[in-house]
Amino acid sequence: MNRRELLQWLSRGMATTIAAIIGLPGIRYLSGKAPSVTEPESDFRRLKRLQDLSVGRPVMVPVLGSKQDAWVQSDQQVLGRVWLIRRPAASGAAETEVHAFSSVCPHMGCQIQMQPSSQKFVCPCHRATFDLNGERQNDPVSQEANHAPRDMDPLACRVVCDSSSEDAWVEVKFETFQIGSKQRVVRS
Amino acid sequence: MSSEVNPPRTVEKYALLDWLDRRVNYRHYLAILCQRVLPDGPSWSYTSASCLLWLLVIECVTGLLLMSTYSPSMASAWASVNFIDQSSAGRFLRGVHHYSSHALIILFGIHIVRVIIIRAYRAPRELVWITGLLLFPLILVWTITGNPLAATQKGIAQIQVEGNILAATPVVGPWFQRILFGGDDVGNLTLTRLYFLHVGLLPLLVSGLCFVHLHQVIKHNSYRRNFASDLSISAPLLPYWPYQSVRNLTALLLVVGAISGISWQWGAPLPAPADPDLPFSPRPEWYFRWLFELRRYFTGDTEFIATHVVPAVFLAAFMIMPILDRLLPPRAERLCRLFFVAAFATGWGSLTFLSFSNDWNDREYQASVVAFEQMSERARELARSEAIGSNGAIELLRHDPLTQGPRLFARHCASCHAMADAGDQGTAVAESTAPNLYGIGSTKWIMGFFDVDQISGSNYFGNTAFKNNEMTEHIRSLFAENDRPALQNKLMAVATALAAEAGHEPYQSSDAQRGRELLVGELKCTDCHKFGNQGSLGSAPDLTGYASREWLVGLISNPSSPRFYGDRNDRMPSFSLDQTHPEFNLLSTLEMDILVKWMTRLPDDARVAEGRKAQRPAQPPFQESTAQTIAVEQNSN
Ligand code: FES
Repeated sequence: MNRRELLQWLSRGMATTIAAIIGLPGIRYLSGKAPSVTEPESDFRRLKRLQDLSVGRPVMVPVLGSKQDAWVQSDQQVLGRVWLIRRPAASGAAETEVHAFSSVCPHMGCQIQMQPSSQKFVCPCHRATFDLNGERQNDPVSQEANHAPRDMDPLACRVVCDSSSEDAWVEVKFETFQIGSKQRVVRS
Repeated sequence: MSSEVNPPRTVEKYALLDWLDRRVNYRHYLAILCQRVLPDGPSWSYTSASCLLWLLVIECVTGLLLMSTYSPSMASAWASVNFIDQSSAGRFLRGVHHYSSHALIILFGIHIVRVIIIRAYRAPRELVWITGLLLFPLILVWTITGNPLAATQKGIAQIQVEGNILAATPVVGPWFQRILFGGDDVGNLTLTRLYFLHVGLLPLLVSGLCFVHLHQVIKHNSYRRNFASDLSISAPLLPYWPYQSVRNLTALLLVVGAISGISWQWGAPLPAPADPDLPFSPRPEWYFRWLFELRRYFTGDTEFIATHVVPAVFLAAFMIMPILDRLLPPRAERLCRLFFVAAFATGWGSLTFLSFSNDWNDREYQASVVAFEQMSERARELARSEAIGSNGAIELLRHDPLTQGPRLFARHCASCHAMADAGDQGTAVAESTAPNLYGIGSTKWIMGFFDVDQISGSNYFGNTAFKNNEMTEHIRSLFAENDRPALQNKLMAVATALAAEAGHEPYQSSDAQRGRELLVGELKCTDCHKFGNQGSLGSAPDLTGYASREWLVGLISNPSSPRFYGDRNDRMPSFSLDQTHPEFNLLSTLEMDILVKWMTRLPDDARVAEGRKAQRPAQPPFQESTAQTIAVEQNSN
């Protein structure tokens, strides 16, 4: 290597370094996670009175909580929605009477709706269809295969009775899941 | 080539330009642009390229103007776009910006097809071809990042799905999605990210590619003999300016004329502001419909083929056309090329058609489109008539009784009550088991209670525990003991008096006065009901302020209170009873307010609203009822 080549390589090296000094943090900045001030709560949240749910009729319930969205932190925000279904009590008193599902479609994340005519959950985006147990079904109309990579995401749900009042409360552990994957992966 | 161009002779009056030219040599470049000769002479078929370029310029200019007002944040985006639409010429400029993007995509398609047909990608113009092909997806991404900027329900729903498609890309997907969304989900950062892409990064990339593209086009212009070898032309050598330019500008004027005509007439669409509570079935723009349709045939593991493989394969196949051109014998190449164009065009066309025709035949979807358009129209109407608060346009529809009233009613009330007129207009219910609330509080509605046949019919007490109670008995006996026309006349007065309680009739009218007297006197209503300071609570609902908003709020909150049905309440739940946990009440204070406002809006509301303003005394005489004041406090909480 002569002097001229050496200087060339040196220049190239320095130019690359300078580009990297700006570029790498730039990429990290754009693709990084937003800093979070508050820890997300992962506890059971009280959503409804048991008596307000009628058996076999799913209801979509908003989950409220404090939410950090980029630089804004606000209380009493809708964090997401869950479908609550109260099962007929016949299944035995010891079991949970209420089941909860995330309303987010595992396919592409649209809000799953209830189709009253067929008593099925149907996603309005690409018509992924689920029965009342959250299991995938073929489209009742077109018999098309289902787009969802997995069944609806169940959420831990329990019924608790307060000692202070005679009300029974439905509580749900609210979580969000990765969209589009076959496995159910909890998003942190 | 440059040496062939003679600089124009200098004249004294151009001294300043001469000075400039000696420094930047602009005449040289201008001459290259103006005096070049196109391979087969000026032609209309070349106009697509220049139209594209100038449309891009128009996009930049209108975009810059819009930037001066637009505000990229979830709370203000929709409001600022609506503000643009209201400002002078704002609606027109936004329309031009919007429709130009559609025109741009159509023209780009035409341009590509033309280039393929005349094989304009052959050596040495490969780079022209490749940069052009890269520009196409970039421009599509450009429009994708622009559509959600108004934070409309449609735009946000679209970007949500698009972002999740992006996230499904192997390896880099989640990373790209995070750049796009600024997090895992659409949120505050998403609009600034989209804005950054739409007005910052993408324009830079596109201009860079455009520069290379144009540079290559002009540079390889001189290879015309080579290029035109099989086109058998003997056109005279006419320079670009003005022979081609005049054609270009004619075409451009037509396009711009059409765009501005449409923009002037309709402006750009502005759907309702994004609200996750509004049900919506997002569809991509027309240029992505073919992929949307294609996905129906690839589910589960193969979905990836529709969303990623097919577009990538098409792009790659287009890219290698110059290589095919070299490798294949001319006839095979020609067949291959035409087949490819035909396959793409039919595939694209039929899938697009299928997708639209599917939706067209889907009743449910069509109904949702109509409903959404009504909602959007309502949002725009509200935004015109009232100011948008600091929480953003989302509250326009959320707090609007006309929009939310029927939804709340359907969710909470319609399992028992109908709210439909005789023609089933409104919220009809398959089997109504409680009174029909259509026109509640109006004279006509109240008269139904005073009708022997109606009161025990399905629109009133027919399906309730009150079917054969004292009230129905009392009405029956009244009709048995009295002369019908005279009785009906009196009852009409009572109904008017009650309707006046809610402000549906003038409070001071002689009818209402007479009705009030009959109510406490001759007709003995206050034997069971309380009215003002007559009668007492406990056996039947209080008639003071009957069916007014405050009264309804009280009733819906707790029908089992002594002021209403007490322990005789049939099945009606208490919707807002719990003061210690107000968040678990079936209806929040706000929802209650919206619902009641909607319910008390009568079919002939315009007249009523006028009457209410003009006639109702500021202080109703019967204010001392304690239940009433409590309910008022609850309401204002
Ligand atoms: S997002 Fe639900 S089916 Fe596609």
